[in-house]
Amino acid sequence: MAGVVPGVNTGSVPSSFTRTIGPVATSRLAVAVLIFMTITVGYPVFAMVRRFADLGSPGGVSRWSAIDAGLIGFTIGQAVASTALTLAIGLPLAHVLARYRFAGQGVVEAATLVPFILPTVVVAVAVQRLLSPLGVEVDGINGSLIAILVAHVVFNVSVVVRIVGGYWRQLDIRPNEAAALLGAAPWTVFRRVTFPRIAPAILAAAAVVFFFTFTSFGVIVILGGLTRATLETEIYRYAILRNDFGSAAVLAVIQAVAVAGLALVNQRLQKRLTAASSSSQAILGARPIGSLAERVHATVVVSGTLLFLLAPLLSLAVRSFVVDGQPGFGNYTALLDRPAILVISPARAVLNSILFAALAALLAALIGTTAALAAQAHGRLAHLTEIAVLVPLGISAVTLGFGYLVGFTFGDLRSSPILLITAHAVIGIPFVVAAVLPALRNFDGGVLDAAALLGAPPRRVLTKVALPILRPALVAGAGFAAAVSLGEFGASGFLARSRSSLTAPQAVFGLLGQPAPAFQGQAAALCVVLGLLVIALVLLIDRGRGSLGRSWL
Amino acid sequence: MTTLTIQDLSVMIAGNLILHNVDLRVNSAETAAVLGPSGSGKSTLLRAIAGLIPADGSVQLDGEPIHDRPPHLRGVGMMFQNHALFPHLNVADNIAFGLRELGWDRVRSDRRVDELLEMAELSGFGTRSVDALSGGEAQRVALMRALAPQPKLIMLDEPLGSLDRRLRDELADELRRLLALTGTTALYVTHDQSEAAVVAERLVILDHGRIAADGQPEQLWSHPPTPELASFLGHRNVSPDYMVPADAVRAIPAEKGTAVVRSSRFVDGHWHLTIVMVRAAGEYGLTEFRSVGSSDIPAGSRVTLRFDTRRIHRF
Repeated sequence: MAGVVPGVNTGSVPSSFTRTIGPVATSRLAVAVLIFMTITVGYPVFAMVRRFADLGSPGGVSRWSAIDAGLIGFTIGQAVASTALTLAIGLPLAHVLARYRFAGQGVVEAATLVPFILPTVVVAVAVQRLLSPLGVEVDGINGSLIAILVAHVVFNVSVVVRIVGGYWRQLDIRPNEAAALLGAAPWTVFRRVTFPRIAPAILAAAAVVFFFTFTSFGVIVILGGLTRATLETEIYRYAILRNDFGSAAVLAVIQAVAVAGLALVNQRLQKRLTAASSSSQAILGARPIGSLAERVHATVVVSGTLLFLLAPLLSLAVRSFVVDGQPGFGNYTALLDRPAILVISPARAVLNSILFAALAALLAALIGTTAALAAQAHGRLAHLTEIAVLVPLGISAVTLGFGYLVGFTFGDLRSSPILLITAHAVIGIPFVVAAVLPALRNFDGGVLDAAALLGAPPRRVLTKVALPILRPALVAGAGFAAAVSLGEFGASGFLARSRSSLTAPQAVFGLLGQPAPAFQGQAAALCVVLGLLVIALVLLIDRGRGSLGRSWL
Repeated sequence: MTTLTIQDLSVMIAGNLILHNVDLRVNSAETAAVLGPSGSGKSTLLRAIAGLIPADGSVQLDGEPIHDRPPHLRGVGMMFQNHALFPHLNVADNIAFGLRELGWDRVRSDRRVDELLEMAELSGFGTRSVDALSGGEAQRVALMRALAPQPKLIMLDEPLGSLDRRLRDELADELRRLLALTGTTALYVTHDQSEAAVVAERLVILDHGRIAADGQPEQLWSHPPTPELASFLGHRNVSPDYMVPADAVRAIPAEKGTAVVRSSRFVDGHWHLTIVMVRAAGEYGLTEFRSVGSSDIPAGSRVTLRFDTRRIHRF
């Protein structure tokens, strides 16, 4: 091309956003985000590592005894077993949803998502309520491996259904047809054509489930009793119950390295899966259910899986209406009074949770949106900002909470809810970024230019044009951050310990600590309230956004 | 009424010189079409005048320099290729956007919006969502939105680019009518010559970031200044020294009749003809040939070429 002057680089064209905000202001936004992430994520992790490094000093050596083969073995073993069981139960449903079209398919998909969006505490209590009458002993001391596995499967089946089913559905059917015409029987077609093609999706789903169960906290703390522990729960027990921060730091550093590694593997697998998605030219294989055998098969799979997923929730709801063996609302009315074992009434804890969720969502929306805007610029700073706000995905909530506990020791910070709200916001930021960044990338920058040429100064371009167009994505991101905050249990265990900061999930945990049936009933009632709150919030976000909970996976 | 004067305008993006010392003057109430192949710098020229990208050089409206001002203070309007209508506002609020920025009150801007809608034959469309508009309607709304605050200069960036042929011809007429009606000085970017010829009274041809030609459409068509430009304008009979418009050549087969030439090229000292019809002498029926070398003028037969010598253009 003529007119090219080689060797001179004056930079590329700024995006319409960068031009509107101005390159200097955009850099300032990026720096502000990086400072926030350094204080709220970098510093606590550093504080934790410093504790770990203290072990080099005399007297610190014994802390290594906190890790033993049994702990590591159980952590990995339960995650492997949970993942295998989740695949075994999720894959048949993924197959039915991918290959058939039938009335009510959307409802089935939404129903599988319900346990996934519920707080882990609610799912754990629900499984406990279902299994106890069936003879599976789940008390505070012994715990039950079966209960842990069931809860993990209930929670994660939708991951398999979403990732594998979604991928399977958009696969081109023609290679299967070609194999059949070459003489392959249906089972051979599955084994030699379908399975190799969906294997990447199965692997990606398995990695996500393994990640979730490896870092599972609420389920294991509630259903594992005192005897069954994973790295995640031991960090909590050492720090909070035994006040041994040194041992907790050893475990937390090991956990942080493992989780960061798993998160990177996950990201790789997801990226590969997205890249492998077939084109829009594909001819899809989904068809109406034909023969009687197919009808029976689909009915058994769908109703069996739904029963398995929803039975715990139903038994939880039923249990919440039983007081002293009689039906009644007593468990709910009792939530208004403060029981001796809690610092405030459960109802107050719910109000706390709502307030914290609102504030955390606001903060997450502010930081997440700022980061997404700053990421529109070109260059290293923009790239760094985008990575920084996604870092919380690679840190377990328990690790973060522990880091806050050992890091923010100055002043009276730990008795105020500020740390809790900040931690919840940090956990919610990736959800905001995940919602806002694609919206920004798809944004037609021309409307910003058009507004400027119609005489609008930059600030009004942002408030009158950009913000209204981005509002749905922003609301969705903030809403999901709020939903996550409502159910957050890992970090809260370290930070929600005073009158002013106790959250609803922590109140559930407190009530469960007492074997008296009255408290167990109240815990069930509180779980129902919390679960309904989260479901209502997610429904509100998803109104007009297509299928339920799409943004979660 | 405003005159646009551009002097020595250069734009460099990522080390590439996209615009190269462009000088251009557009007279008051004139519509000038900027024509050029893709990558020639047409859109860049508009964006530089609007201040949407950094540029060196001077841009003046009626002698007043505007190149140091941010886009929202330049007083130029622009109609974008994909229209860039605000999706969160209805038709009337889209058109009123610039009026509200001027500080007009609701009543006054409503009245002006109604006038503009009427001018665009869109009365009653005010409360519609912009998503519900057809391509042609959206195009007119975008034009009215750009014209509403009465900019000194309006720039149109391939405004018909996304529409199909028939609609383009129709709307090009419509644009010409609306621009004439408001008497706004306009700069119209397109890569389509017939569209340019319909809308504009002047053609500015841009090539590799430089102005390759500037003049009236008919003048440039019949007397292109360079062989490259002649080819760009669609002429096929171009040699380094001269150019023959296709309709200035007639091929006469041996003895009788006339062949109508669709195109002809002078290559390596030979004429290559594509003949579409032969009119036999003394008869009125037409014979159509689908390709060169058909049976009526077999390959190797002698033909006589007749040129309208007045229309041969020497470079």
